[in-house]
Parts: sequence; C-alpha cells; structure tokens
Amino acid sequence: MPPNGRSNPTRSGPLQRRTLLAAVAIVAVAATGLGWESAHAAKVVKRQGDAQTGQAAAEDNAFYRCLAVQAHSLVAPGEPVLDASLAGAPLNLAEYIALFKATGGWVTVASSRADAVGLLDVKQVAPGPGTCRGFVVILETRDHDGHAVIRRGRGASVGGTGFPPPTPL
Amino acid sequence: MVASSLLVLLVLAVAGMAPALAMVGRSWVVAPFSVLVGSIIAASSATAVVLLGGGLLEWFWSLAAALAAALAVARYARSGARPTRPPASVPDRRLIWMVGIIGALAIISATAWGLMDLRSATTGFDARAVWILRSGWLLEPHHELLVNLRSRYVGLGQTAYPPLVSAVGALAWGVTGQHSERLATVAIALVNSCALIMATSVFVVTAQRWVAGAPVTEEVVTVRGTPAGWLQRNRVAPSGLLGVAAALVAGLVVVTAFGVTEPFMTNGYADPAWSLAAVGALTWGLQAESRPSWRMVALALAVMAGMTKDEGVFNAIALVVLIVARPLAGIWWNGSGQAGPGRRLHDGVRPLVEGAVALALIAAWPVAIRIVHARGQSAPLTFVDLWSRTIQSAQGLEPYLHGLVWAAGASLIGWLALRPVRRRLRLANDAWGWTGTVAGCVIFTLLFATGGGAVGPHLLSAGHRVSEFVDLAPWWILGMWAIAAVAALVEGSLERGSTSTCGVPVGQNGRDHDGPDD
Repeated sequence: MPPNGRSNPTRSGPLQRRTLLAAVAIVAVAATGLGWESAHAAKVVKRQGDAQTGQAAAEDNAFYRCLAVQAHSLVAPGEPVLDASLAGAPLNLAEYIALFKATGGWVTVASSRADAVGLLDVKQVAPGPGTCRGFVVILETRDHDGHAVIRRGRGASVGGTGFPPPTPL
Repeated sequence: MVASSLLVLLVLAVAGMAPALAMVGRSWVVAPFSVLVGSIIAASSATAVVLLGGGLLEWFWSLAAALAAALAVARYARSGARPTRPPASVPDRRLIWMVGIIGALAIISATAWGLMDLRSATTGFDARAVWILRSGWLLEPHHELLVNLRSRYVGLGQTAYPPLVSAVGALAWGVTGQHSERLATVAIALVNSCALIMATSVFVVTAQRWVAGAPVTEEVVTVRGTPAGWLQRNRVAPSGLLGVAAALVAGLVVVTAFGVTEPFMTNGYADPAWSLAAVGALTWGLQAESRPSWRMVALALAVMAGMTKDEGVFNAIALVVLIVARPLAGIWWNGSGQAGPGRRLHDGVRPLVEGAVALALIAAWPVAIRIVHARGQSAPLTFVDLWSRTIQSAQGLEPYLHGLVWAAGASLIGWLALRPVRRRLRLANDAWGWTGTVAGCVIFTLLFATGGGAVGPHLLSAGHRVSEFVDLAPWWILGMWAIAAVAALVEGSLERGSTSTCGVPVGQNGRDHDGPDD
C-alpha cells in the first residue's frame, strides 16, 4: 500500500454508489464476454473431438505410418541416405513433404551424395495392396556396374487414393 | 498410452519439483508449475546435447539433480544466516484451503473437459513435419544430430527453432521407450495444459491472498439484499464469495483458452505452449501482487515461452524487461528508495540479476545453434514496402482482438472507479498488463511485416496461431478486473468499522512483498 496516503489499506466505509455500479458493470461485462467466448469455445472443442475429426486423424496417421514402415523396410538403422528430391531429382513438393514427415525424424541423412547408400523417394502408383493410398516408398541404389537399382518398400499398405485429408495448418 | 503419458508428466514434475517449490512454496500450484520447470530443464538439456553431445536423458537428470542440490545448499546457508520467524497468523486457514480447492477443481475440471479432444488422435501438420520430427533428432548420436541441423539435404526451414516442445517429445520417448508420435503429441498437450493451469491459477491464488486478510469470522452483513446477505443468513463467510467467483472466472478463462488454441492445443503444435507460458508470465509478473517469489515464477514462464518458438523469444524478452521494470518502478515511485518502509535502493539489484539470468537462459539456444552452424538461424528480413506491410500485418491481427474490446471496457470502468479496490488486492496497475499485451501486438505486426515472403499468405497460414498470445491475454485482464469487482462487492457488504483489513494484510503474509507499483 502506498505510504503516502493515496489509498487507505483499511476499508473505511460503506460501499459507495459509484463503486457498486462499477463493480456490477464489470461483473456483467466479464460474465457476458467470457460466457460468449466460452460458448464459442465449446463448439470448437466439440468439433475437434467429433467422429469426423477422429476419422480424418486416423486416416492421416495410417498413411504416414504406412510410409514409415515401407521406408524402414528399405533403409537399415544408421544407413545414410538422401532424399531424392533434394539430391537433384525433379521435385514434387507434396510427395517430398510426405516422405519427410514419415522419415525425417529417424532416417540417417548422408552428409554428401557420395556417402549415401541410396536415394529415398515416394512415387505415386496404381492404388492397391502394397501401397499407401496409391503411394510407395522407393530406394534407388547403384549396382557394381553403375546401373540404377530401384527397390520398393514393403510391409504396410493403406487403402484409398491420394493424400489423406489435410490436417490444420 | 495413458500410463506412459502420466509417467512423462511425473518425470517432468519430479525434475522440476525443487526449483518449483523454491519459487511458489507449498501451494497447490507447485504441481503444474513443476511440470513446466521440468520442461525448461528438458529444453536446457537439448541445448546441452546440441552444443556438447551426450544423451538427452543423462543431461536432463544431471541438470535436475544439480539444480536441486544447489537449491538445497542455498536453503541450508540461508537457514543458518537468518532467524526463523514465527508463521504469520491468518484468520481462517480452512477457508483459504477451501478457496484453493474450489478454484483448483474448477480449473482442472475445465482443463480435463478441453483435453477430451485427445480422443481424436490428431497430429498437426507442423507437429509431424517440425516439432515431433526433431524429437527424433535429439535422441540420435551427436554427429547425426549435427548433420540434421547443418545439412542442406534436410529440407526443413525450422531446423533452428527453440527446442522445448521437441525436447518434451524426445524425453517422452526416452523415458518410456515408446517412439510413437501419439505419445509425443499427448505429452506436449499435457505440458500445454499445465501452462494453462498455471496461468489461470493466479485468479485463485489472488482470492486466497485476499481471504487471508479479510475478516472471515462472524462477519455482520449490513447491506440488505446482497449476495453476501444471503451467504450470512446461510452462515457462509462472505469472503468465500470471492473464492467462488475466482473459481468461476478461472474455469471460464480455461474454456475460453481452449477455444482460442484448439486444435493446436492437442495436436502437437508449439504455439499454445509459448503463448500460454507468455500469458502466465504476464499475469504472474504484471498483474498479480508484486512479490519476489511470484516474479521468479513469471520469469520462469517467460523463459519457457522463449525456449519454445521464435515468436516466443521476442515476446519473452519484452516480458522479462517489463517484469523486471515493475519492481524498479515501484522503488523509483517511492522516492529514491527512501520512502517505502524497508525499501532500499539496492533492492533493485535482485530483479536485475534475475532478469539477466532469464535472458541468458532464453539466449542459450540461439547461441548454441550459431556455434554449431545450424541452418535457419535467422529468417531473411524484408524492409521493402515496410509501411504497407506493417499496415497489412496489423490488419491481419484484427480478427483475433475481440477479447481486447471486452477487456478494454472493463479496464475503463475499473480505472474510473475500482482502482482503490485493486490496490487493496495488491494487484498491479492495469497498465502493466496492457503494456505486455500491446508489446505482443507490436511484435506480431513487426514479425509479419519484416518476415520474408508475402504478408497475406503468411498471415493466412500462421496468423491464427502466432496471435494466440495477444488473443488470450485480454481475457486474463478481464478476469482480474472481475475478481476486483467481486472483491468490491464483498467488501461493501461487510460490517463498517471492522478492525480487520480487507485485502492482503500489511505486514502479514507480506514478508515477500515488493511494495506498491502504482
């Protein structure tokens, strides 16, 4: 409490009319504002927890899990590889992002092209068994003669076509 | 999954318990706060891993143990140097506890309601592409981590973003052995929730402080027809009304915060973590009673915001400056440290040192990634068409400012009529909270105005997330005025001429008080 007497630390009298009105007005403003916003929030939270959002999330998770399993079938732990798009192959941004999201957290990135055992990529193929919604992970390596050898990822598949519904950005 | 998530929460809480206890003492808020301090330790561990190598878990436990040991030594040294004071007497400890329990239940119930969204196993775009992805890097051997941070073959623009959220994910995996995106997402959501609980707890703690100084036994109600009159007739202490009001305000603010932050609150994004930590820093450091221990809480929350995301760094720096400036302004206001009882000019040294430590912690990560030559250390800045870009950025903030209108209305009314009540509650001058919020608006505008690329698409893709802090802060300003308003109503209903003081008693429970700042 300021010691210069600008305010009194003890309550000194009955509630002034002005204070009462101001207090009631602020309580009304707070109740209305927070109540209004809470009602809006309830809708947001309900939408995020509904079955449709859950279904979209399940499809999204299944797609990236499928890509990760296929990539694991091609690349052994600690084996340095490069993303084909970043190593000079034509860039398909959506496919690149999908591969990065599925493998970027665990794959060992080669420090140079020469150190890489192969180039990892995602390609769109006809949907069906052995594909992740019509995408497959491939690893391009070179044989002793310098010819390209392409291996296709295995071990997982997800039905459907195309990328899963976009998640909130 | 539930057991693993709770284990992660427990690990964070155990690691952060000693510093949290040192800052807030034996209070119910130590539970969420210790989790947040644990997440700061995790982020510091990630910084050490990047700079020096070694395992994240080893660094995490080593830092936690070193902090706990240092605090124990400091406590032992202090206990020998100072005579122990008898505990301050309080009118009714049961009522204080009851206010705390009701408030905590309201906050936790509202938070649990929001967390029901975890039923949808959503992993956000950036969560998968940036935040949780980097959790994997933090568990890799040091040379591989450095390749990921440096290599142009890693196509991630946010490589060098602050580490807290990723560190929490990595810790979750390291502790449980389960490397699942879901676990990391849930762990991040739980840390977000602790930040939200911590930020809203200030309403309840303020009510508890008020009750500690209010006449709570055998009050005589003189204003007929008031809620307090009903309470008196029903033999309920009128001052308990403030506790109920605080619980209601806190619960509504939690729900509102979920509305602002969802779906990012529960899908692994970093924006809610820094925004809610920044709001906590604002509310504990710039709105609540000015106490050194609470200032430490505010600075810790600012550090958390600064360790979470680039936008958080700038806001955290602004908040640290304001949090340190508040006690200094109080000293200056009282006349060169002479006027206030027990106030000395060198009291200002302590906040300055604390602020410097906070800024050093925030700076640790940016310095570390510069030392290891990580990519993406700084985004390209644009100064072409700066004025039009600034206008466009400021306009981009407009959809997220409706809370400001409500808060401004309450602040205006309160400023005209309730400032004495606010002082009796020992709350900060409202201008401090507003300055922190306006600083957030300015930082938002400048970040978008000077950031590379077109402003419009940038606002479209990130504006709704980056604005969370300035979207949230006004609701806390409004909430604090609501507490002051209810306190005024309750005060007015108490008997005239009572010998007890309303509000936090001077010299009682006030050992830790910084003094006035307005």
